[in-house]
Amino acid sequence: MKEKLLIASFFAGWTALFTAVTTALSGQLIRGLGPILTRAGEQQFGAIFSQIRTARLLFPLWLPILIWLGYTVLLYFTRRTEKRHALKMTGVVALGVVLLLLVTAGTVWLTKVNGIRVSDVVLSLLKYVENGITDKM
Amino acid sequence: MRKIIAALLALLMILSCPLLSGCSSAPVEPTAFCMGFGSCEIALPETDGPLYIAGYHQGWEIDGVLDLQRASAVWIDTGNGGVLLIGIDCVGLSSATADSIRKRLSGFCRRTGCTSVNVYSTHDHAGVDTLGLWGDVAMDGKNPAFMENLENAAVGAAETAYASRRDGELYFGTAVTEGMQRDSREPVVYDPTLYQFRFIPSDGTPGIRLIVYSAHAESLRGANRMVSRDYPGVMADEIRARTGDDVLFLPGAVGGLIMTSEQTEGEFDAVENRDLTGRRLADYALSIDGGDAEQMLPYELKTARVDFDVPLDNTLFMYYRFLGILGNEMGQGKGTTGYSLRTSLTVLDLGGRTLCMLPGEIFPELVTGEGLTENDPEPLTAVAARHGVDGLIVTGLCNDEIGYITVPSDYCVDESLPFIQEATDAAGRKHYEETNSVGRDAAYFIAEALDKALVCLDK
Repeated sequence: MKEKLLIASFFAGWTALFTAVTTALSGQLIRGLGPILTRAGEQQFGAIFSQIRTARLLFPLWLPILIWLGYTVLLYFTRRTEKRHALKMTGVVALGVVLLLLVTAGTVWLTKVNGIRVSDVVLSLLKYVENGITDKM
Repeated sequence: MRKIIAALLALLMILSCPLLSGCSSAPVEPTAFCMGFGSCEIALPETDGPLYIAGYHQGWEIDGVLDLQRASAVWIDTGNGGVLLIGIDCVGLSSATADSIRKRLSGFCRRTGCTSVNVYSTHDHAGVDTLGLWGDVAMDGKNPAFMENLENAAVGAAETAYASRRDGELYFGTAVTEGMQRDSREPVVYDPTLYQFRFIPSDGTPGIRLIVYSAHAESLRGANRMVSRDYPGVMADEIRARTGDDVLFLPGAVGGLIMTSEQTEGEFDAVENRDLTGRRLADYALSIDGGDAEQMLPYELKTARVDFDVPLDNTLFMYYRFLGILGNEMGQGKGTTGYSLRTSLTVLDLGGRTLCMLPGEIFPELVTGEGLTENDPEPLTAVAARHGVDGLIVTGLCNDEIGYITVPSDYCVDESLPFIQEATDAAGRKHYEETNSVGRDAAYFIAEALDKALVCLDK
């Protein structure tokens, strides 16, 4: 019983930690988009996107929770293996880094900023760009 | 014992306060209308960045003041819960601002028994940007300090309106105006009627008028950079000067685009045009007084509000919401953007006359049915007639501003850059209004909401 509880807390703890890190990173990326663009020399776009620094963000928590839960299971079983333990752990950590990047990108993509999903804004803007909005500016 | 007597006396004084202050508040058979008026100037702040003038050009800052914008309020009750109408001299207010004012008045409502607070804008095109759409490109044009002053003025006006309430009779009349309006888009359809509710207090003090007229408040036209209440302000001042009465102006069906025609002769002078427009409309309003067309109204007061979602097609509105410029609530929905916009419609039965207070600038065709095809929504007057309402009065920009409410069969957006570039149809007609509309189907949802609201009102 005690062991099951420990395993459950292992899964819950690491999943929560990874999810918290992912959402914090995503939030920072979204809120920091304006300053990032400004530093990149895009003053006008920087000013426009700086307006979302105080926006209400709604993260798609199901995405990081699902992915990180799966990763935690992998981590748990890798942790218990004895054969080529170091090599396997290195692989799992590398996978973790890749997953962190992918899950963060996915979370940003699906986050709702002031009720509007980032993906909807990007996709519709791309359509305008394809139709030559930049020529009008 | 003395303490008990003192406490009882204090309780008696508290309970008798409403009786002493002019109006009875017990739920009894109404014996009069009880109305009050309040108005506060909206001060121009010197902080929180530039003040942009709303309505025409992006990034134009104000250049001076002709007359300051105001928040005016009218309190109405018949003894069984009050209704508050708050009119702001501005281009439009999103539901977020209306809700914020309502929230500030929550204590007031508990204290006074107010059951319905309605905040609308006069659609003034010579005021400070209150929607955020006239700053630099994709930047919020609202000035936070000005918005704070606006909300404070609205609350102040509401408090004064309640405090100044007194009993009296309410009259209703109309005047048909001539040569005062123009429709910039075919078919040429507009309502030339000026509707007036006139409250005459029993104590002989000056009265209160609610005036509904269908024309954009833009007699100063697009080159103006001076803050003003435009023609509604001049009309109100003129009526006040000649009768002592206070005036609350409500815009009617102004979509399509209905504006006042030029009143000046010779070279155009914006301020002269505004003054002539306002004075001539004041003449029309005063011509109703005491005439055969003016009728005393029975003591009836009912309201019903319906909240509903409108499919959002306009991608620019979606971007503005994303950036936090527009305050309207949006959620997943059936618009082409994948979203819908939450808004509301209120109906007010005032002495047997029904006002449909809708959240945008509706095309008059959608009210009367003139020029509509069978695929268009049922005209609002027909919806009202099904509920036994004759002579529906439509007012716009109430509790929200969702832009133009266009005729679906005449809806046309540019194919490559929708809502950014004006479309031109096969007949060569420009479709400007669509760029400032929520989407093609808004009119169906407005008609449906009116139907639901009238069902609620019947109950």
